[in-house]
Amino acid sequence: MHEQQTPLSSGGRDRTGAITGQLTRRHFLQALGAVGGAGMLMSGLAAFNIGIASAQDRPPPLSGDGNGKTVIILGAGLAGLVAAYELGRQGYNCKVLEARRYSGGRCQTARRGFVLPQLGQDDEVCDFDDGEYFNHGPWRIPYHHRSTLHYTQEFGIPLEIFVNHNEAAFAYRDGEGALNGQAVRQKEIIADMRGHTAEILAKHVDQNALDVPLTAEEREKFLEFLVGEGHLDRESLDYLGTGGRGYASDPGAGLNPGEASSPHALSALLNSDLFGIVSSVSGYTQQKTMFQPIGGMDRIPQAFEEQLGDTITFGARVTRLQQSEDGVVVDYQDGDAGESRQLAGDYCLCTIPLSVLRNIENDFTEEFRSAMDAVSYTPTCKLALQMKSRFWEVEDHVFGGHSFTHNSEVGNISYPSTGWQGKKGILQGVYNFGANAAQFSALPREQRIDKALGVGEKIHAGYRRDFETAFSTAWHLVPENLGGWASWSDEARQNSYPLLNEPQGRVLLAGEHLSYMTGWMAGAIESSWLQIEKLHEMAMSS
Amino acid sequence: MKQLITFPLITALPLMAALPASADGESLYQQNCSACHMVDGSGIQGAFPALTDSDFVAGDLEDLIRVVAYGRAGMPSFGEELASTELAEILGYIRETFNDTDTDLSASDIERLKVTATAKMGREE
Repeated sequence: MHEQQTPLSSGGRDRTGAITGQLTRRHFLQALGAVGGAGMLMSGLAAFNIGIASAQDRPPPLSGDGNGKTVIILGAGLAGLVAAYELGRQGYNCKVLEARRYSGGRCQTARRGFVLPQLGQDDEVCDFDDGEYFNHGPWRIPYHHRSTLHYTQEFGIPLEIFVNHNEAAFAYRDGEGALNGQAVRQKEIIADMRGHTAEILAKHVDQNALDVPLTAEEREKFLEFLVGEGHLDRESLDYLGTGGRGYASDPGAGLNPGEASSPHALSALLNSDLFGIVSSVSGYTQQKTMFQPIGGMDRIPQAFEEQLGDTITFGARVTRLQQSEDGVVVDYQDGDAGESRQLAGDYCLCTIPLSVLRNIENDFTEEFRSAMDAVSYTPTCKLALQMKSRFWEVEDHVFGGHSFTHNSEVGNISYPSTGWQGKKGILQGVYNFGANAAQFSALPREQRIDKALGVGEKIHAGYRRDFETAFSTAWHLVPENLGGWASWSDEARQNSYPLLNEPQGRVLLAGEHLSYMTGWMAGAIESSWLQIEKLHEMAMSS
Repeated sequence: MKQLITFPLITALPLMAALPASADGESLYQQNCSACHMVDGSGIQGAFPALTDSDFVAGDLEDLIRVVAYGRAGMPSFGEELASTELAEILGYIRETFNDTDTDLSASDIERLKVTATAKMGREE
C-alpha cells in the first residue's frame, strides 16, 4: 500500500542535541519524541504516512548505497534471509553461511525423504506418503504479524487459512467429574459456561441485587447484553441451552425440526475442570484470522532463496568469529570439501541462536558473553502422525483446530488445515514444552508414539486404528538450534537483553531471540529489520 | 525372636531416607535430564555440558541451583517446571553419583534461592 518514503540519510546531533546533517527516519522520530513527547511523535509518524506500528509493517527504508561492502550473515533462517535480501538490494555484497543443507532455519517442512538429525538420537527420517507434509517448526501466521505477511505478499506466496479455533473439536480430561473420561465438544462447554454465568448475573441484575451503580436504562442494556451473550430466555432469564452447543439430533428436511440438546450442569462443568478452555478472547497471537502457506511453511525461505541466488553457502559450520577495527573474519568448516575456510568481510550479522553461538569461538567482550549466557531456551517437541483416513473429518466432523487433551506430557491434538476431505492426513499428535518436552524426548521413539496414540484414542475411535507412521521432533536436540526458542526471565530481559541488541564493533546479532515475539517468524524478521538499519547506519557513517 | 529382627529394620529406615543419591534422584535425572546430558551424564560436546567430573556441578551449590532453576546459556529453566523436592533429588544425584561429592540438599534450600520469576517455558502471548 505505502511506497517507501524519500530516502533520508544518516544524521547526527550537535552538542546541544539539535539534529545536524541529513536525517534518518529514526533520528527524526527520536528527536520528535524527545522534544514533544508522545503526541508530537505520533504526528511525526503520521507525517510519514505510517502508523506507530510501522516498524512491524515493512523493512526500514535504507538510504544510500552499500557500495559493495561485504556483510557476512551467519545463518539462513528468516532473520538471515531477510538481511541478505534487504541489504543485497541496497548494494551490499552479502555472503550467507548456513550449517544446514537448506535455508529457513527452524522454518522447515517435513516431507517424504526429509532427514532431521537430533543429538543423542537416530536421525529422524520422514516417510510420509508423497504429497503429505508437516510443519514441525513454525506453523501459524497471525493476521497481525504484518512483517511475515509483508514477505508472503511481496513474493506472492499463496496462503490458506489456518484454523486455530474449532468449537467442534473436543476437550478431554481424565478424572472423577461427570464429564471426565469422555470427549466433550468445546462448543458445549463454551455455551454452557457462558450461559450459566450470564443467567446468574442476569438474575442478580434483574433483582437489583448487584452492588453496581447502574441507571435503570443501563441496567436494561446490561440485561440485554447478558441475554445475548448467554443465549438466555428473554422472559425467565434461564439458560436452557442453545442451538450453538449442538443438537441431540440435527434439524433436517421435511418434518424433522431436530431435537434440542440439554446443557451440562454448571457443577458438572466445574467439577470436571473443563471450564479452563473458555475465555472471552484468545491470546493476542492466537486470534482469528491465521494463515499458512499452501504447500508448507518452507515456501517462505524457498522464495527468499530464489531471490538470493548463490549468496548462501550451505553446509558451512561456523567455528570462529573475530573482528578487528576494519573488518570481521569468520572461520567455518566447509561441509562439501571437508576443510576449514575463512571468510573476511566489513560487517557481520549473526543470527545463530544464542544457545549455539555460545559454543562458537568468538572475541566478544566478557560482558557481552555473559549477557548471551543469561538466556534460556525452551525445550519443545512435536510429533506428527500420518493417518490412513481422515477419521476426524469423516467420523467426528472436526475440520481443523485443536482438541484440548489436558495432558501436558503430550499437549493438544491439532488437525490439518489443508487437504480437506482427502484420503489421508497428518495430525499433530504432540506439542509439548519445558520439562514435559525434556521428558518426552528421553523416551524411546516407540514409546513416544504410543503415548501420543494413547491420548488421541480417548478422543477419536480411529486414532490408533488408522495410525501409519510418525515424524518426531525435539527442537532442543537439533544441533543448529538446541532449543525451540529463547526464553527470557524478567531479570535477563532487563539486565542482559538490551546489550545484545547493540552492535559489538562490526558485529550485530539478530533473530527471534532478540524480540518480544520469541518463537515467531515475525520476531526473527523484525529483529533483522531493526539490526540491518543499525548496520546500515554504521556503514554509512564510516 | 521376631522382635529382635524387626528392631534393626526400623532403625535402618531413617538411615536409608538420608542416603543422598536415592533411587528417586536417579529416576528423576533419567526422566528430565538424560535426553540432553545423556544417561551417564557425559553430555554432548559442543552442545550439552558433561555433568561428570564437573567443577561446576561439584562446586558452589547456590550457583548450581540457580542454573537449574532459572536456566542459563540455553539450558531451560526448571524452577517452575519441577517441584523443589524433585530438583533437590536431581542435584543430589548428579553431585553424588557423577562427582562423588557429598550433598545434603533439601527443598527449602531450593526455595530460598527461587526469589524471582523464572523464564516462562511456554509461549509468549
